[in-house]
Amino acid sequence: MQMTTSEKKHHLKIENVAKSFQRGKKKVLTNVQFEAFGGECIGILGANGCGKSTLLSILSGIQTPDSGSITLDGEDILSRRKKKDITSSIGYVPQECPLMEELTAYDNLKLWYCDSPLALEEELSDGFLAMLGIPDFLHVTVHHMSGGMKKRLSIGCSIAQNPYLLLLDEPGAALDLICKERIEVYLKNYKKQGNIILLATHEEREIAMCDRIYILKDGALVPFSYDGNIHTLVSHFI
Amino acid sequence: MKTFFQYIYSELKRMLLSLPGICIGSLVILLCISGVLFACYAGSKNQEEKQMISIGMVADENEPFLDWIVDTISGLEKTKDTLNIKRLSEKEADKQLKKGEISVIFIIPHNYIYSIIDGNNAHVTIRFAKGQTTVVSFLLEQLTHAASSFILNSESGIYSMQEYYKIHHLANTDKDELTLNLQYIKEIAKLNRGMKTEEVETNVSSHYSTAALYFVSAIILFLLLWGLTCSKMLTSQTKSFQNQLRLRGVSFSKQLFARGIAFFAVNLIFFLCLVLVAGIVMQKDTFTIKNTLLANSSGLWQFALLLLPVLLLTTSFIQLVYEITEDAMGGVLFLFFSVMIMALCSGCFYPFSYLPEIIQKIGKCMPVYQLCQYSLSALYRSFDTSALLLILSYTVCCYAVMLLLRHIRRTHTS
Repeated sequence: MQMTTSEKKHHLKIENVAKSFQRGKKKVLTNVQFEAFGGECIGILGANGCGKSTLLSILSGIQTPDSGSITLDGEDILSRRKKKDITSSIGYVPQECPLMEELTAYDNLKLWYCDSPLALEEELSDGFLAMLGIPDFLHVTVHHMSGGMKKRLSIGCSIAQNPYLLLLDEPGAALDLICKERIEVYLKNYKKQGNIILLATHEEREIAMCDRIYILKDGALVPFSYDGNIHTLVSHFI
Repeated sequence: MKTFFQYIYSELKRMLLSLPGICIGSLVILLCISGVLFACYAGSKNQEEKQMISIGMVADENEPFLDWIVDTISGLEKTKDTLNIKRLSEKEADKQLKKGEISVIFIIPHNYIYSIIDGNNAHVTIRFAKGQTTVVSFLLEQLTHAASSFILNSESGIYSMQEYYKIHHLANTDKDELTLNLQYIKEIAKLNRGMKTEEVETNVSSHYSTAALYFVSAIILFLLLWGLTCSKMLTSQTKSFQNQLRLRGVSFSKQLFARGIAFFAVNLIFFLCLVLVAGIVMQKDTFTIKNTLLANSSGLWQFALLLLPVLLLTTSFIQLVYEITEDAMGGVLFLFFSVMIMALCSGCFYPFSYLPEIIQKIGKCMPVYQLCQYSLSALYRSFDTSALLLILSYTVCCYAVMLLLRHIRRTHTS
């Protein structure tokens, strides 16, 4: 599904998305709307508990919004009929690593790459899995891995179906510099291929990588132009 | 579907990896259960032996010598604490046999004593409840002892009379009369003389041997308590993992089902290994239960095959427990106490008929009771269809509750 820049760009459109919990008592998202195009990396920032993860899980199809519409390349991803086909175009890396702890990295990859075992071998030899450095710990069980290894493996698993929208929830949290560097290189490459990245983050380095930044405040997204001054950014959180 | 099957494979692999550790835990559980149930078995056997066995004697009111024989046998040292012989009408005796109040009926034909004297071959009928073969064997053993004592006493009485005649210079009786008297007594007391046996269907359910009851209880308890060692296997996957699988088309219900299949497969492997070991033990040792499939080692495999529905329910029950608690320690405690309560109410530690009536009523609704009933019937080569249907219904219920729980939790969090 990856496309070159000469082809029509992928398009994600979110309109008036609202979500509340506890039967409407706790409103997390009130009116979220923005657009993203292929080759863009969008940063979603905000204070802890403001609803960044909720927004990403809605976009991934895990949660359903109370109202609003989300379209990807013109197709409604909320409609039940199309949801299953569309979600294969979306890769989601949640904060918590979605891995089977007792199995090795290879076993985990086999689960997510079961549709295309040959592609798995190719990706491991000279593809993006190799770029993420996964072959170095391919036969290590997940519970013996470091946080960085788990995160890289999670990304590797989430892109198994070659999605063109990648949702990353704080991918750089608790990672060392080498891991961050590897993930960054991979994401830049992914973006270059005309795909969309949505990044919920607090990391300065990842913020710098984004083409556009939104701050999630009081349930709505506010555009923000980042000039490299972190103090200005923090003042917008309050 | 590929992801679904790959997930089953992954779960199976994950569960098999933790099997060696589980085997050690299982061995401990097996030893504990065997110890406890053996103690229960010995206790109840002891009590059974102490209990009186009631015999109904059906005969004509004016049948000569019969009351005397009954009184003599009942008064003998060997039988006075074990046998309770009562004279009854045939109708009343049948009624009491069906209720389980008496264990066996001896039906003495009309003019039995005279038929012996005349040399006619009249038959004594022994009527006992279906499955009471153990009691009947025990009875006949007791009666044989009683009869030999009776013959000895009667013979010595006749010899004493001869001595009495001599001492007091009374008219000596004919030697022929002495011979006739001795023959007469021997014929009366000879219990296998032209005897007929009849088997009667009763509404008393406890017609299985105590050894079989405890053996089956041990198997059921082991299969359920094996779940105590499976906490690692069955603790829930992370929410994010479940969600990712859902995005790949493996819904929550399919995830539960996949897990159930993997767990059942692991259980099956473990169970077959146990049967294999039991088969070897049976061949080397002489561990058998008479009149059951376990009379030989080939029957063991047949019994194992019949136990597959039992395995299905035990695995789904264990899975349900860990699904409810979502926590290893909570699951272990919940499983242990729930199984113990069900086992107590289902007569696993004590014969079911000894339990209070209200407990019996509750116990009959419990899965453990149905599992025991089904396994016992399988062991005795009969097939309890109603118990099997109930077992399958309980299995479906387990999965329905699991699905409901997942649905409630999902709607609660979103």
